Amino acid sequence: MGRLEELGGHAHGPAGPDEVRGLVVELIRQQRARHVVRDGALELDAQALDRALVEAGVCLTRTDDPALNEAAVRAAMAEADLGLTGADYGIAETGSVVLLARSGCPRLVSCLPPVHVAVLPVVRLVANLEHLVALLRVDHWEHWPAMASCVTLISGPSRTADIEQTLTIGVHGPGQVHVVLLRADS
Amino acid sequence: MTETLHGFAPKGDFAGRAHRALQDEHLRAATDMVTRRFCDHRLAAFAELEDPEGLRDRGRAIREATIAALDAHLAHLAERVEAAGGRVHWAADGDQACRIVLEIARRRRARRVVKSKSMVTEEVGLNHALEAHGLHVDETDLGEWIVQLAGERPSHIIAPAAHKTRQQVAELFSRETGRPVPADIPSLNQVARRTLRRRFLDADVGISGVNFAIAETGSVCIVTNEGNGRLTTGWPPVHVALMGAERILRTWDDWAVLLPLLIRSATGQRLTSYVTCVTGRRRPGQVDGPEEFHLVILDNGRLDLLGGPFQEALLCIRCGACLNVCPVYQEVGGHSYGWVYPGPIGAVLTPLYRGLDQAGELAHASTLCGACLEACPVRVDLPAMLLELRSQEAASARSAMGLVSRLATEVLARPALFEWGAWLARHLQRPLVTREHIRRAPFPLSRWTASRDFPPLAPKPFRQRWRLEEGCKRQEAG
Repeated sequence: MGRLEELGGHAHGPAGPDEVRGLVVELIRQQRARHVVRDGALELDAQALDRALVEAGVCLTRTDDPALNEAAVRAAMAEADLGLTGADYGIAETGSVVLLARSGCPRLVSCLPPVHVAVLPVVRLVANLEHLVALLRVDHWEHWPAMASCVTLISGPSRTADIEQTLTIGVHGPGQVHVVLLRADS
Repeated sequence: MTETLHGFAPKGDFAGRAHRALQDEHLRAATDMVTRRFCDHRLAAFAELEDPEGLRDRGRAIREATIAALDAHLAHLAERVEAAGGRVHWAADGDQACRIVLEIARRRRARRVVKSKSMVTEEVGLNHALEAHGLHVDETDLGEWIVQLAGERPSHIIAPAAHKTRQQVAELFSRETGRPVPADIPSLNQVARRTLRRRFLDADVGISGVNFAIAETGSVCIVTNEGNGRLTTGWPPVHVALMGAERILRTWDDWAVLLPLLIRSATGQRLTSYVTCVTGRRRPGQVDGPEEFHLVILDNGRLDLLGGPFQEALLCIRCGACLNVCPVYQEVGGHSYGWVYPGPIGAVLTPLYRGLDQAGELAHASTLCGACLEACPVRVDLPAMLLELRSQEAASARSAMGLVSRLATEVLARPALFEWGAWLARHLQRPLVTREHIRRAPFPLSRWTASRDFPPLAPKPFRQRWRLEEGCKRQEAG
């Protein structure tokens, strides 16, 4: 994940579930994020994260909350200070996380808020694009048409150099990306 | 200067536009910086690979094989898109593409459209067509938004606003937002983020291009660094993706090869910040992603190239590497080419898609140095095609070059006539030789000598000296 740091992203861990919970809460506190939107990724559930966040005074919206209708979820994504997601894969060569859209895990949680925190299980880290494709086939496409409506590779924060070739971070997507590596504790 | 509906500047203007571009100091400095930087980044990105030439070879082989069976793969793509709940539309030309998009917008009673960068939409003049029908169109790629506000065309495939200063951008943004905007780059980017974010959220239709369409699953892959591609394709209820018919890959394995080739060649990154691969419309239970997904596949002259000497041009993956190394582009910039695609690829495509009689002069906007071929990630043989275009242009009845070529053919085929002509030229040239070079010849040769000096014809031609020497040798020998 050194590649991620090169791109201006931040890598944390690898750490076990309890430590990850602490890391995520700390990140959110550092960002002074008051409204956090998280998706339904299972890797976020392992650490009683929701409770810890609420205790820390964060207003938390879950995109898979059955009490919310579509408009409410979309509004939460558009208004949140920070988006918290899992990650389906990571790519070491490019410092990327790969997110697949599915029910309860909308594609824009990692795009609309100005800060994105992704929890990536270490076992899902692959070396390069070729390996990613092999895994996508095995995990998903053998049951085509269960093809995900959106597969996004995220490699660092949003950026542009369109004005005078000068680099700026944080244009339309998040200006900050944090990837927290989750080790499954035995 | 009048322009046609698709903004194609009239014939015979390259020299004029190039000349004007050369006078523009700021443009020259900007073009210089952009091309140099992109070259350096590309070279660094390829140098880090274990086997860059091997990767290019694989990329070439994949694109060749794909184009060789293009119609089959397009059919497969269409079938998969529709199975994923999308709709496929076939556009024979630019007008039809615009009509298709207008019809989609009309049916949805759409008022606002956001766009993420697409050269194909420039090619067909889509923005113009949409606005003529009362739709409000916002480009969301920062560089494209800037040139849109300025009412100009992009000057580079990858860096559309390379020719603009921060002061010029601040002026444009101030006018657009109705508030004074400071001319520093962080402020400018903040203004763009805030302003365009509102436009994204209000949009009825998102229109994007396609970097690669993947037939295996009916997916469409879009690469951006800014994130506008994600918002354009993920938030509005309708997503329309436009692609040139040749922008297709067969499988995701092909994608794993061509994606890094594209990105490393274009910007020198390993990957752009975002690579977004969308397939069809949103699945039941999802809260984002479009309710309607449309893929518009554009012909507009591409399919005519199949089976001919220019099929090669369809391999292009639109990375812009050829622009950055071209000595002509480096001097005159993108606008001089007069159409949507500049640089070496533009010099080939514009005459092919717009007609040799309209744009044949672009085939001469080249020194044939071959830098483009060397830089191209899939080794498209641009110099060969430029030569072929020149040859076709010369063969056509109307061209002055054609007349000269035919004359030359006659003379070169008759040795006696050639020798006599050379003897005559050797005498006629005498008053033109100054300091051992011909520096200024009378019209029409003056057009050549304006920027070139020629050595004069030698007082004794080689064949005469050879005869003499061979004659001497034979005498000595026997």
